[in-house]
Amino acid sequence: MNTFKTILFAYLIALVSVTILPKFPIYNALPNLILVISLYLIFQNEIREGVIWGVAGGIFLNFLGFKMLSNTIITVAVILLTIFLVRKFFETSNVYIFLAFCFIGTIICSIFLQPSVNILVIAGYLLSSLYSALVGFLIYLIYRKKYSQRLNIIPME
Amino acid sequence: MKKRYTLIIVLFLVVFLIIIYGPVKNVFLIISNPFLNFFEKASVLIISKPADFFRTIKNVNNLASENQGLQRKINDLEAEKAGLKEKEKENEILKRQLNFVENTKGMNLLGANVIGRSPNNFSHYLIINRGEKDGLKIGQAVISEGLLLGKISEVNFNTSKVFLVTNPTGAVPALTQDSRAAGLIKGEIGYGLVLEDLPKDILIFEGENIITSGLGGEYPKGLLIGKLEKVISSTADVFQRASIKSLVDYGKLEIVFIITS
Repeated sequence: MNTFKTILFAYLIALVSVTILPKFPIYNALPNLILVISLYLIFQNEIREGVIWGVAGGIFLNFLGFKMLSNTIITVAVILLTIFLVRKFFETSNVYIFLAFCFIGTIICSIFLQPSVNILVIAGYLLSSLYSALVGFLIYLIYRKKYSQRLNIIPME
Repeated sequence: MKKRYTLIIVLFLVVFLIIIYGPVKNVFLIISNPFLNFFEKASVLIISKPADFFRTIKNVNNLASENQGLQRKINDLEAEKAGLKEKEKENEILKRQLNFVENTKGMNLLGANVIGRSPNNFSHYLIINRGEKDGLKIGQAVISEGLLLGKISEVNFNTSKVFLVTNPTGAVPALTQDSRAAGLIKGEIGYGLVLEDLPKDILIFEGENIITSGLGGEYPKGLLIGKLEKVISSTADVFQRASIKSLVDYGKLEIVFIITS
């Protein structure tokens, strides 16, 4: 996928995130679609696309209403952390590792966007993260045939 | 490897400069406005309707009891309607006598379509298709069907952001309509509302209307926010706390009104 296409798709997904996605809450929790797709691309060895997707998607969400830069910073931070961790600790990967990263990544984003120690807010973090993992699993199922043989992460050089 | 990280950092700095450049955001929103409108309308047409259908199927077990409850409510409302009709006539006569001119509570309202919502359950806001060009200003109250939704928190050229009362980071000075206890409405995660800091010596009742108190001048006095659902404070608490049932379905809002003056 070229850069222009990646940015265009990130724009469309950002629009979906603020229009269609809020119509599908699970107990008021919503997934972090931009982050999940970024992580999926990274787990498909599409590191460059994953980073561009995360940066572009984060900026678009910032433009569409989030506090200035908050979404961009945290999405990029989670993506860079993921790249570092998978290269350092995982020679190969499977869907469970990808889903675990979706779950933990969403928790980190949620804590950064709305820091709180309120038990209900924490429950919200967990629900959103589970929802993100579920969306990640759906994306995996859709593209499994196309990408299954490529679900290997390049070991750290 | 190092080159790649340098590239990312440079890219990040460029992004930072772009974001702090306000007009760019405005241009982005002007370009995105028709797309947001399209996606919002598409979501209502294609997604909300089947979702309602499946929700109905899911709730089919509750329909019988709900039906009974609604029938009882209809009977009550019929009786209430008859009483109100009499009062309306009486009011009409009084108005004529006092030469009273009705002007929708003296408020100037501006209608707007909801074109976007917060994509998570932490930052409760709406995006509407009215902005600077329509004369909107930060701080103006936003209502729907007579109920307070929130206030304008950001104004762009042709869109604005509405900070909802359910946002956990905000507070609205409020009043219980019957017992006249003053407190603060605060949002909770998942569009819940809590009325806090109510004096302990005032007896509050479940089902009471909660209205804006007008304190601080941020919201006009007397706007309905919701109904008192349950007192949730314990006897040891210094102030009373009550959960509020919001009468607005935030997920289904399509048209809102801004109080311009």
